[in-house]
Amino acid sequence: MAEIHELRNFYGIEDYYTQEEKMLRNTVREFVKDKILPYIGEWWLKGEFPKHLIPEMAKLGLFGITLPEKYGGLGLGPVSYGLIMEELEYGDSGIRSFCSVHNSLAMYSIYTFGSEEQKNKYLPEMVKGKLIGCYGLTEPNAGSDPFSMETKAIKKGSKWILNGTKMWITNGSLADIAIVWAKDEEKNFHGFILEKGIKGFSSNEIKTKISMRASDTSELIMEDVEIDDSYRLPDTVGFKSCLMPLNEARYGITWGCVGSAWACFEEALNHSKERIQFKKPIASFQLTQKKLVDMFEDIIKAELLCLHLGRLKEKGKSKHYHVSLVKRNNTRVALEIARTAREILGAYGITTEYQSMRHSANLESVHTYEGTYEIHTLIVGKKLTDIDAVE
Amino acid sequence: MKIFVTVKRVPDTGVPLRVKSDRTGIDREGLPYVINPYDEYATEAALRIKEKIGDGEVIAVSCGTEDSIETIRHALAMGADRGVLLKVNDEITDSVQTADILSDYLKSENPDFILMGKKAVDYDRGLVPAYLSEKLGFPLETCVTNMEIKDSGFVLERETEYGVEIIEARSPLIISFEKAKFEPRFPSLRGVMMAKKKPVDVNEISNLPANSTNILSYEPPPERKKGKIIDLPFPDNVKELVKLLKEESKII
Ligand SMILES: Cc1cc2nc3c(=O)[nH]c(=O)nc-3n(C[C@H](O)[C@H](O)[C@H](O)COP(=O)(O)OP(=O)(O)OC[C@H]3O[C@@H](n4cnc5c(N)ncnc54)[C@H](O)[C@@H]3O)c2cc1C
Repeated sequence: MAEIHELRNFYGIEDYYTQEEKMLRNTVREFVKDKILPYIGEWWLKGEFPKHLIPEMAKLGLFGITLPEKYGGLGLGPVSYGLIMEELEYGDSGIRSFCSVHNSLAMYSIYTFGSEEQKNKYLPEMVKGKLIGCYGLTEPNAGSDPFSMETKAIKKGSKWILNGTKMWITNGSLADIAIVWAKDEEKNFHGFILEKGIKGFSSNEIKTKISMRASDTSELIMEDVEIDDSYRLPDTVGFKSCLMPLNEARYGITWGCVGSAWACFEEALNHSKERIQFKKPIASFQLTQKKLVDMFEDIIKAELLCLHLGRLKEKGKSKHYHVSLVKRNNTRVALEIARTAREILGAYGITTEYQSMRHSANLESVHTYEGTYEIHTLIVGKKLTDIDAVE
Repeated sequence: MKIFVTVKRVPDTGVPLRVKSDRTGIDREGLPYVINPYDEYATEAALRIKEKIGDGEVIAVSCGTEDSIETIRHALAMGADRGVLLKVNDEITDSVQTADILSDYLKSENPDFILMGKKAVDYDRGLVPAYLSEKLGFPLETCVTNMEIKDSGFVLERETEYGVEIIEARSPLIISFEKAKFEPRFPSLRGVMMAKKKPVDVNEISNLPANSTNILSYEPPPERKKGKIIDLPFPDNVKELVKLLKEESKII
């Protein structure tokens, strides 16, 4: 009988990772096995993000993964980053989301659009986990169409007055700083760094979620928030700048999906071999075998898509539509795999003692955030047809 | 202060092993490997000594094939300063041979401490610390579960049938570790990156010392017998169970 480690290398993909990439992956795998997996079901039920792990995550090096060493980061490449996201999401999509947002949305924005002072002020502290970041783009009335955002930034001398609401913001309540996007009177887009506690800036955690329960998802409210121009990110170039960080985070999500899919598949495979019905393991039924093979085939393809995307990215050759293609595929298959795994687990599968239904519930969000499945379809569709469906 | 830690590359204990069909060894195809778990305690202890004293060098030594560099890198990622591979072409299964190779190298290195795992979990013999102690003429404390660093030296703990033994120890000394009361640290991602830059000397062992034992063949452990479910209502099931325990397994 094949063992999991053999299945993971069924298609010989291991040879295409470097020794270092594998060591980095294994380091995070051990962390997840020890610090996340035994407790995640409980945190998820309680609707809690494990804040107490932030110092340990920082010590492990999960913050500033791709950030240059100059600012305290590790300066790792995209495949290492991806493998780390995969392992985190093997634990839980919410844990991975926390790291995605902190690294690829918050730190990336400051690194890419920030002034040297802003970088020196925030990035090293963010690497240490002393400051946690969030990213506010979505609004109650602007989801898939962020261009239509309503948050206003009015210039008043050397200051800005911000008014508006951001919605569904990961880390929104626990974050110390928020990157928030707003439009000025000429409808130009600007990004701002808002520190927690400044006057007029508040957050509300959304407690009624039945997805991503081990993650903080919040509303950010800005009521006449007055801040100095030095808190504006100076190097943005209009609306495109809001989307650039998303491309980074989406890339990580594609890998994350492989992680949650493996977790569900492994659980379903083990269960199917042990669960006896009609005097046989349920794995012996052809219907079950087909499910397992379909899941397995999809994971292998998803991982290959990620690896190739990562190698393209290393060479600076990955385009936003490549990322869309893979985000679209991998969120879809991960969600299908999680549901099928739950099916194989039968009633056991509906509890948090098993993982599949937690993953499946989480993946509903992953399917929707960072560009919904439909929006990524339209991005690839535009590439195919030269027609922009939403213009 | 020079603190040596011996580390061995062993198959991941979480993975079931299969004996090859020709019975000459285990099937290693695609097998994941880890650092011997007891060696992780030894590495942690070595790092703690260095941190407490604020000085000294932790050197991870492995006697093994080229692949053992991976294991040395694990110790380096945890924080060891440099590594030494005593490189052999084929895996060694003879404890005397391993101890000979280690002692040949270590005797010219003036170690203050040599920290080891109480055994490697692959062949499970646990002989190397004792042989090494004999060959180097160093005292040995085996199966240590805790270690405290005091000004005067070290206080070691061993768990025995009579209670916890408290031992005061000084260098030079070999300590072999049992599963300890302290946890080995996770190597950090930065540690993994740094490990790549730390030096690992490779000493080719061209003349293998003589071996003292030869493994003739491996037999797979017998398969566990299937359990039996007594599918009867109470109290017949209890009666049947008692009957089976008496007549079939003869336990009662
Ligand atoms: C758990 C979670 C965390 C999140 N974290 C963040 C965060 O940190 N920061 C942030 O800014 N946002 C965050 N979001 C918000 C997320 O990015 C949005 O939910 C997403 O962009 C979709 O917007 P919407 O929910 O308003 O859906 P809508 O845009 O209203 O879409 C509803 C449905 O209509 C479809 N649709 C819309 N337009 C089209 C079209 N043109 N063609 C076909 N179908 C279309 C969509 O695909 C979707 O199925 C998060 C969301 C979740 C669930």
